[in-house]
Amino acid sequence: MGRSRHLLVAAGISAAVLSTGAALTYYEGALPTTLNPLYAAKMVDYRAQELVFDRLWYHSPINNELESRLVQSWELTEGGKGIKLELASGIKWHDGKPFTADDVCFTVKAMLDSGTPSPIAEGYRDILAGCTPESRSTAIVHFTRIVHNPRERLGFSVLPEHAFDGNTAISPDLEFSARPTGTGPMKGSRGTRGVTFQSFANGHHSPQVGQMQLQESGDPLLAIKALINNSVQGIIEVAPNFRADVSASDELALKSYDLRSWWFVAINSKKAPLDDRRVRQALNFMLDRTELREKSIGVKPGERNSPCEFISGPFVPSSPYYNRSVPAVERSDQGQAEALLKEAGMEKVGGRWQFKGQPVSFRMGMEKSLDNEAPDILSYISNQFEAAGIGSQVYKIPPDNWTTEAITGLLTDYDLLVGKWSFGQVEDVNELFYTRSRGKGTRNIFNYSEQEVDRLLAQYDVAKTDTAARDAYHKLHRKLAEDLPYLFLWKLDTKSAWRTEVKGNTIAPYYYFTQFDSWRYEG
Amino acid sequence: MICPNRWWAGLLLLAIGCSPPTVTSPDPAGSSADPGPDSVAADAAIPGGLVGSAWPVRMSDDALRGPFESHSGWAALLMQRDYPAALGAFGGDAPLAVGQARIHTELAAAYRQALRVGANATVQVYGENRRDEDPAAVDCLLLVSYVLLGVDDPSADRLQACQRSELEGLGPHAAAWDAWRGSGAWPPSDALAVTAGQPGPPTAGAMPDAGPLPHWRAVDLVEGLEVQLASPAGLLGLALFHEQAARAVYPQGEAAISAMLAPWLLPGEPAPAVSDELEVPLEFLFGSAMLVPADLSFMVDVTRGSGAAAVDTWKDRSAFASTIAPCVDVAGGAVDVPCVIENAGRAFDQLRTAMEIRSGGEQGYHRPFAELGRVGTIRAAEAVAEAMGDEQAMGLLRLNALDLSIGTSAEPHYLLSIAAWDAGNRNSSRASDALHAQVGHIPGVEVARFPLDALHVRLSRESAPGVPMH
Repeated sequence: MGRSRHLLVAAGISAAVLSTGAALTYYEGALPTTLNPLYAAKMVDYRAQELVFDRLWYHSPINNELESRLVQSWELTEGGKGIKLELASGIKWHDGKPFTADDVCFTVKAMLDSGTPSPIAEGYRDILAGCTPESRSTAIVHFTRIVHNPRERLGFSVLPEHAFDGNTAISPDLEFSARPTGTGPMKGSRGTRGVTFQSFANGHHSPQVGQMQLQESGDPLLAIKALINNSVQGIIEVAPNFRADVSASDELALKSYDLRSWWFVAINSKKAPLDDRRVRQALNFMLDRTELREKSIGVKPGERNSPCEFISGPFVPSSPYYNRSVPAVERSDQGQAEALLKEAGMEKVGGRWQFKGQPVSFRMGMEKSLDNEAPDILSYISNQFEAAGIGSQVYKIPPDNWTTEAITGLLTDYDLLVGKWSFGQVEDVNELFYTRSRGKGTRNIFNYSEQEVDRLLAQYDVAKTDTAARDAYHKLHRKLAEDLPYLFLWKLDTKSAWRTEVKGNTIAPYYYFTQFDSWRYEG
Repeated sequence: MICPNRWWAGLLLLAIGCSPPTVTSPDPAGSSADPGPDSVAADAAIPGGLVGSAWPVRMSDDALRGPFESHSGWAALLMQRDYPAALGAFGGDAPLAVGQARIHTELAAAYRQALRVGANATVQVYGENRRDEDPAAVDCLLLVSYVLLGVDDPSADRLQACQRSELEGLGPHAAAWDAWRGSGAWPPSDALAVTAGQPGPPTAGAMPDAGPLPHWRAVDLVEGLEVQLASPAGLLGLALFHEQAARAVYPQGEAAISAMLAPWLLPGEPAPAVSDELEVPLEFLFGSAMLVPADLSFMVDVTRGSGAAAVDTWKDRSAFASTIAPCVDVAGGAVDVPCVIENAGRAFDQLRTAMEIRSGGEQGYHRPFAELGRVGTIRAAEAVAEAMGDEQAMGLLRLNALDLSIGTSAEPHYLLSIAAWDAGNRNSSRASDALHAQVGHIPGVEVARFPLDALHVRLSRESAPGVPMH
């Protein structure tokens, strides 16, 4: 209540002087790494790209209908192994050049080109076989096999052939990643301090917001103040701690953002003593998740309808892939932790755990922007380990470094990394836990490798039936809960806050700005 | 300074002390005084007299609100929709039977919506997206789902296909529902007699679960792995249990119970008559998304009677109808969504102003109470849009109402109705999240999880590839 009062008072004092005029500005936890859709690694990348590009097919955020702004009509060919697309007319790229079937086929070929090192493209290589432009407005996309609901598979953003001079081997570090050419409602340009979006009227888009700025938010309290002050008009992810403040304001509105996100502490199981599963299990018992959640997210013990629910494996609890027979560890159990550490050959001397005569201390990191959603979480985790007799040094890792180093398995000097993964309809976790080799395990943070885990992931990959796929993931969940390459923390709902002057702002699950043409800013 | 949860926090503390309930004679509906001329602004959405009759304004009277504040049953119901705790708190207290009836009525609505979640998911996964692996048993569940949804089955020989399943009791289950189809009989007692998980005789204060799950275990036709199945019809028994318990515990509320349930009824159910003079105890409105008794009648008329034409009929009596009337083009078959949102906001402001006048100042509970009025207004417009076939407006209004359905405004039966819509739209992620959120409050809804889980797995395996993002 005290905080709420201060916020609202602050808003009243400074609202008049900080109004920003007609351009719409919103905060993300971090700036996008890239505006090239082939190289999205963070949700902020996807959200920004959704403004700049059109995906071939997308789901309506209103009724979930499968729709396309680029395709006027379609028909199956080759006995179901191909789909013929008749493209909509009058669509231009942001540089004024016409959108044609060559662009669709170029995108498919770029994704199939092994010289395009894109994990997103990699996912399509299993189902896409090629593409043939039949005319300027007609393309045939070929599949590797007959697939059910082929349009559902074609959810990729289309790239302009001319921007790459027809070279289908697309590198992540081209100028295009900062100043792309798309067909979406906004033309985007990434700078060092944000992304500027400028509306681009087109045959298939008529955006009503002229200009928009994406900026990186800092301290979540300051971000909320800026929103109340009308310095910015939206925050994509509002920390649960501040949602009551948003709800209590007549000028702000909380908006649901459907995203399946779960939080974890990745453990470097290649380094002693964490290479001993018993030590990892001991850490799992040391963490008091209930206390962590209360301190960082503000959820009281026993509170119902919490936006934050504990997990025991790599899925959200509402998912059918979540193995509900594996209990989550909600409270610490120092007795079990101590027994496991002793079993692993560790000794407690003067209240500090020692391994081979040396005090145990972990180097812990976290992607910096997570502080916006769960303030001080890293410190709270560190404090809990400290209280249990394990030292730690904590570091906040800039988002870009997280993308280029943590996800790619390069931060091996760390022992523990706190992170979050987000999913849409597809909850494929294989890239997180596969042994990193031959294009697999591309998001395996500490290069975890376990034979049985690989076997279960392969089972999921080759599953012929839904039941087989689900069974494989249920077994994977149980195995990971025992082997603990991650300490699984919780799923956390995502809510956005927008000023009420922003109207018509329907938020699409996962991609967010899919329906941006309906957005208006009456500021 | 206003803290929106202060009243609720206070209410909870009082509940822990648990002073004896004192509500014995509900205030007659619509009898409260006008809060004053200031409550009717020039841009009023709700006519002045109706504002004073709205329960949030009436409840701004400390003397009227006090007995509710001090009762743990109301705290459990309104703060957290903790139905078991609320039923327990009201149990055995004859003067508070109306509170118990209210909870049973909400549960009856919620179970009907959970049934729709399950039936829609069944149709989507085994009807629209049938695969070679699916056992014959799914034909039986499809048949039952089409019957429950009142939708024509695209296959004329579904029952025959179903009979190829050798799962015990499944064939007779489907046959009984097939026989009931179109009979007009209600309740479908013969079909329920061969439906798994039926609760015992209705008992006020009881909250039975769905019995052993899954209802059946089949094997898939490709790999021979176990497929777990549950019939959404199992949820109808629970819905009827609670409806009958509500009617039994509070027989004088027969008409109010029927009206409250009307928007949530299943296609085969008889509609209640639209009442011009519906008597609704304050306990039925308090903390709900209905403002005045005529709002219930209006909703009955919209959803089970004359459809969008009801707006004109009720605009002088129903707060909802009056607020959305300027936004509804009955002849053109369209609802103006920005207009509804704007007017619902005006209604919200009006309610708060009137509450302040009644209370002699702003109180923490004003906002959450008024918010229920805003959500209810948008939901009413959503029902009108649906009745008009304006699906785009309906969807947009639904998303707006969903955004506002947090805290005390989060009514489980409404959230489950959105989950049902989502399941029918193949939006399995949001439907799963919504259903999962209710399992802790209403355990029987677990039945719907079986087809919904199946739908989600199928859709996720047939979607564009996705990789985890951070």
